[in-house]
Amino acid sequence: MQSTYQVDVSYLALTIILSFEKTCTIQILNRMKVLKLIVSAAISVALIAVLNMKMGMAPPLGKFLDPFHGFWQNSETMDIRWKQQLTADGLQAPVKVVYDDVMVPHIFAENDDDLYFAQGYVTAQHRLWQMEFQTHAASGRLSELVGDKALEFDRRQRRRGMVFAAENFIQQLEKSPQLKKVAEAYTRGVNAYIQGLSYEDLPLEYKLLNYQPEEWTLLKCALFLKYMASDLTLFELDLEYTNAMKLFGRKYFDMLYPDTVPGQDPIVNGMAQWNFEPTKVDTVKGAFAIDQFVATEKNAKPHPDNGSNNWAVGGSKTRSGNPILCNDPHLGLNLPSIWYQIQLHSPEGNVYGASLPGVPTVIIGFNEQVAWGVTNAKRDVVDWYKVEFKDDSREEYKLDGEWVKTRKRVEEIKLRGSESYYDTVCYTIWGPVLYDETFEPANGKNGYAFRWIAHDPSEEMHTFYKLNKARNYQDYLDALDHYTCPAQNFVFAATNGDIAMKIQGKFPVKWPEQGKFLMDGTHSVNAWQAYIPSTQNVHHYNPARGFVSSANQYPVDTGYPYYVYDARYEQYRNRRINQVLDSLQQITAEDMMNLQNDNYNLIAAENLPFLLRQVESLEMNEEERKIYEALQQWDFFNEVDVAGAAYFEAWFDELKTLVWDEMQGKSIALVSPSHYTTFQLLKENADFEFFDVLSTPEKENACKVIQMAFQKGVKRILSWKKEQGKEMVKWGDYKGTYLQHLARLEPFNIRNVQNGGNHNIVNATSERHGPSWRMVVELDPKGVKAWGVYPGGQSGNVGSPYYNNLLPYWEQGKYYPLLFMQSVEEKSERIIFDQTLQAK
Amino acid sequence: MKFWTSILSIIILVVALELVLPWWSIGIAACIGGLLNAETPAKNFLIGFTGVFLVWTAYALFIDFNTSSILSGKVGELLFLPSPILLALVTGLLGGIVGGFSCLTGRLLKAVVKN
Repeated sequence: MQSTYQVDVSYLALTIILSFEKTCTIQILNRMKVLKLIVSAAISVALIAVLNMKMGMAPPLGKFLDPFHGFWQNSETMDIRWKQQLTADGLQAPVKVVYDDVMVPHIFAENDDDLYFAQGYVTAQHRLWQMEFQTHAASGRLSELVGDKALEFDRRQRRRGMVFAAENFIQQLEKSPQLKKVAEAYTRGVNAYIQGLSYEDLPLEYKLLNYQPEEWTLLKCALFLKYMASDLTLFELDLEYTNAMKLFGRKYFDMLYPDTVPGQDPIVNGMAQWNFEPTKVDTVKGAFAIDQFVATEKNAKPHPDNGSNNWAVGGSKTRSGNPILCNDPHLGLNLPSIWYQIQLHSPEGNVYGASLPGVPTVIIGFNEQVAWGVTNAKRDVVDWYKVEFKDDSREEYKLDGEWVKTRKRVEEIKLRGSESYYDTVCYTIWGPVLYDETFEPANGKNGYAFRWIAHDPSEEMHTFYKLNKARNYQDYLDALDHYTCPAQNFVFAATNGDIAMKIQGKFPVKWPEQGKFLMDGTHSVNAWQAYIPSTQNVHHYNPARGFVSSANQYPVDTGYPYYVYDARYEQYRNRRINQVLDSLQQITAEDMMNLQNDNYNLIAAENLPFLLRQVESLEMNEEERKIYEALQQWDFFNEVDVAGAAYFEAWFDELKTLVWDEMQGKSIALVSPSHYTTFQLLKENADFEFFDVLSTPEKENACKVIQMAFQKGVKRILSWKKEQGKEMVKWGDYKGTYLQHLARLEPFNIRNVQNGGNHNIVNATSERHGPSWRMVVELDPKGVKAWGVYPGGQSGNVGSPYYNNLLPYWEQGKYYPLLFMQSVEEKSERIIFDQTLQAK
Repeated sequence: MKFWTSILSIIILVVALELVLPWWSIGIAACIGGLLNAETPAKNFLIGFTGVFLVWTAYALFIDFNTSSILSGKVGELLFLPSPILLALVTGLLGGIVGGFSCLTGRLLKAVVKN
């Protein structure tokens, strides 16, 4: 569109100049007039050309500011002014879409093909830019939009084999015509929306960055799912642990990074019998490559707190006698919101829930019989292999004593404003070589290849499609059998009273510690040898305690016959949730909302009294005394307006820095131990070598380092007060939660979000991370009732009141009743707008 | 045509062309306006400027007011302009400059062609 304009403008200029030149030669006397005309015309044309062009970071100002087509047209009000009658190619029957007062679309179609078409269309109508931007990010194409500042990011995405993974997904999709039809219908719907767009309708970000949406494809649906997989599985610490093992030795390594810690409450704990014959694998001796240090990976990992809570309580524990299911996935607090609420109704089913823009079906939701939700099932499904190349050409690598050819994939990374960058990624039997001499931290003839389960052909969409239509526990199990990665703890409840939890994913059968450290990639015997059959995955059905729950903790007790490992299990939320659920009877939906918003800081409750004892003999100045006393009185709840939570956080942050100074500022990749282990060592091992602060000549012990941290923490609080110009310290201000727009443009972010909690607290809202969707569903056989809320809003448009209208509710821990319509004829005061999609 | 009627003709032309063409149609509208009147070239710059400035500023302000500055405030911040009114004025100013030169060009073209 843009190039057409430019051609038009140049044509205009040419016409003016030519006509003028003709006149010029004939009318010599009028030379002055002609000269003036030339100058004036040239200025006009140049002005238009310049204002039609993107200048550095600035959008093309004329085009952008034009109130008829530019950004002004993206300003909206609460009244919807979309077209009500829409025509699109590829529909079999008319589809009715009604919107409720929070802009949730309720789609009523006469068949599934039309249903998913409409889902694509309607989602794009609200979230097109986000859908495309996220899949561009997934596939390493951000440089096309912003130039070489995204090159490092794009190279990493390419070298991770994100597109390779998505292509394998599509290959698998080809084998199931039913699901392919779903994805194709969705894709056609998105494209029908894109085709109807003119410049003034484009989402704001396209105007700002001056580019056009491209065609949506099946591959993009797959890319988004793989993006979720990377976000939820790539927080692993293999290289950090390899370095730590080499640097500190086995004795200290096991103290610093234990596989399990006491006092935890696994997802399935001591209540299940495992009546199956487990697949056995042989332990391989000498499989690790702990011979040299690995340099730091820069900006490489997803957020460590990516996780979630979910639980279901059975009728025996609820007041109504109906099961209640709850889920709140913790992800980056982004705008546009990660989730998009939708209801999908056709003769083949009726489902409501949170969808992911870019993927057909509902991901977390409920229908007339069942509800389901997910939390991330942490398990090490990424292993690193050290590859030995024959020479700098990286044409061959060593395997079982022979030189084997690498498969090279040349990645063209288009850079806005300059020539393409070409990156060659070598594929081995392990997977892509992410790090080699051209990409840190590898060097010389070595490379680090990584084996990632998300590269395998998979059919996660199948699972969600079947869950959307599930009617009972058996359907749920059947749906889950299709699921590979990112592994999830699938919670389930049904109107017939069933509750269940299954930890589903494709998990390699590992010998103890396999893949915990960098593996020797020159021997094929070091590969994964088998996978745990889906039926042998950890699961729990109607347990006697009357509830199931998960919060990214260790999955199962030691009775489970497989080796289970992840670098970092969550160690606090699970225990708090289970304590509360154990103690509650006659549970109502409101109790469950309160639990999702529970701000009890278990880390503080377990450790603050110990910390305070260490400083009671300390000589304190006035400020220190005040903070000490405030901490003594604090009840361990991280509510927005308390000071104690901020004091504790400041103290703990300083403590971690002082205690684990051995791991910081190193050129090699290292990681600090978990919070749990930190406190365990402080309490039980007062003279542990690591407590010595390296920057002081004295030798510190636990007590001394806690005292130093206390004084530094107080200073941190005082300087925060000074910086902020605040008299009072309030946790909500100190934490400074905000929602970040995907393009990271400050005016589009929402600052000063006041919500309590923190990481490792049930209400897991930290600075820029937290519950991205809170849902509570009561499985009443007379009609399922549900409530939900997320930080943000249904619209992806910064210029719409629906961009963040749900935020105030979310901040205050309130919920909207979810309007679960039974038919298109159903009347509701909450319906504010409707659209009809029809075939052309 | 008199000064104000010339401005009015440009306003009508700008609105009419903007409904079917992209933003640069303000150049065409102002140029045609310049061809149609008999004012001096200097006045023509002013006519073109004022015509487009009025349309763009007024429409921008109208949208701003109707949508309670929901977007103009944020975009203003992006462009380092502290208020939506200022952003509307800058919008008008940019359109006005294009309009001014285009109208002048139209007037000068008329002078050359007439001779």
